[in-house]
Amino acid sequence: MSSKNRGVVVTGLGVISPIGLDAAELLASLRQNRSGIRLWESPQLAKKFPAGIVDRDFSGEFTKLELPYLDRCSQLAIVAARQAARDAGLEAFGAYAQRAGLFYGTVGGGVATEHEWVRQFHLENKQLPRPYTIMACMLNAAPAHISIRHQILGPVMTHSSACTSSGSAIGDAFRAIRDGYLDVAIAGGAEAAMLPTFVALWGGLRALAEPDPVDVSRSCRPFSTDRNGLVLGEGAVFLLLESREHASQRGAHPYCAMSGFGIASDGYHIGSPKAEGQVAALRDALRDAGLQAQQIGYVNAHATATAGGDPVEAAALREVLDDVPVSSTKAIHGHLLGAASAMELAVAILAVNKSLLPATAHLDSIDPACALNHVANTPIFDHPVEHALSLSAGFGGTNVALIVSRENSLPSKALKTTIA
Amino acid sequence: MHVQNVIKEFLQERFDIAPERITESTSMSDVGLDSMMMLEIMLELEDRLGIKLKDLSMPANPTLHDVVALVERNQAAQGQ
Repeated sequence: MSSKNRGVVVTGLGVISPIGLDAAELLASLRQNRSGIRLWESPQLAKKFPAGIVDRDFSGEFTKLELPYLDRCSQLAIVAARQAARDAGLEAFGAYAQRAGLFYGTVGGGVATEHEWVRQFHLENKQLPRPYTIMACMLNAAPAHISIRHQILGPVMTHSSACTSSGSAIGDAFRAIRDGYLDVAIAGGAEAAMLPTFVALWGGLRALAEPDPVDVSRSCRPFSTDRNGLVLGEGAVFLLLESREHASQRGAHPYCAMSGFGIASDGYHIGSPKAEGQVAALRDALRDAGLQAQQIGYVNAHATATAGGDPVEAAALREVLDDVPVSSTKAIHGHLLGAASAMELAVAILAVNKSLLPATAHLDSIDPACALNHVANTPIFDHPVEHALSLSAGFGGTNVALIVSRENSLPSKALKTTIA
Repeated sequence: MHVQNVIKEFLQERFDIAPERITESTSMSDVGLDSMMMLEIMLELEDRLGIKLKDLSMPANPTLHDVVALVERNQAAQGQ
């Protein structure tokens, strides 16, 4: 057994998102602050909604023998996890036996497959679904498929804590490596729940944004005085985490170090956030990383653009992280639910790796109740970020803060960029 | 239609398994069919052939021959 308190580094990134189908495309979108929000509609819903859609069908990546088991959520997850593993140059984990793990977060899992079966049950009087339907619905279907494909034989864990699902998954992977239980882990999350029944469930909250009448891509406006709700999205984002020692031994170069994980629960209300819980998560992460608040150079906020949520988060950030540059990139990618934390940590990783402060798009008028050091509308380039933090807050009251830092021990790798 | 052809046709339609890849002695696992997909095939054969498969006993790792034999045994038991 290895010693405790080992350094942990990020050596692989996999991104399937509304603003990029790999990390390089994500970076290009962040630099241009290009929105991936567009109009989504269903013949079964009278209202149209703005949404962060991944405009690609991935079923062609799989054989017809595989597809019956694979909800779109699993397809996105498999492709993004494979990207992260390939990016790190580590695709087969069997030789690690129980020292390789997989930590995954989702909210709906195979909900599209499940709701389709419910439709068949009620409308077609079917008594039994196909044999594999239950396997495609399970929340842990995607990580199971990833573990089978990549022979990940240690813990294969599924987290579901609403919008913090992938954040707590990444946090637990980080701890497992740092504390000596694992050498390497794939960690992240996936969501593919843009189906009328699921969107309508969220509509029930009366918290979904209306499409902007002039430019639908501007419909998600975190921290703005005229924000009018959250914008649902889909996607899958995974990191390859490993101990610094392990990366060094195999000559792998990290994008950055992973340095802190804080988790705290509100114990307050099923659907309303509380600043105290977020404050506790932020302080827990700083303590875990051994950092002072003023050392944080960038915060990617949760900021879903709801009337009630943004001011609560702004209050928590003001209390703990005075004057740190903050943005919410949900303005351009939407709320990826189970993949949200992982997506926004990927943005924080790029901030550190590329000396970039991503901006909150469409932030022309900052709500005074959300006063912060906002990076508004225009990203800031060539701005060194030593430590970046991503905060997520989930329905149910779970809050997660994750901190990534510039890697100073091993030679780090700069993300390769595509021509934008 | 001959039972064997019904099976081959279904395997091609649903799973892209070319008929020429399968002979009587080809095991179903060799073309990538697991136990759940075998169950799927049985359900499909019930629909396509209009029978109820009451006797589902087959050797481990069944071949196409074994599946055909199972169907024909059930057809005979039901007087078809």
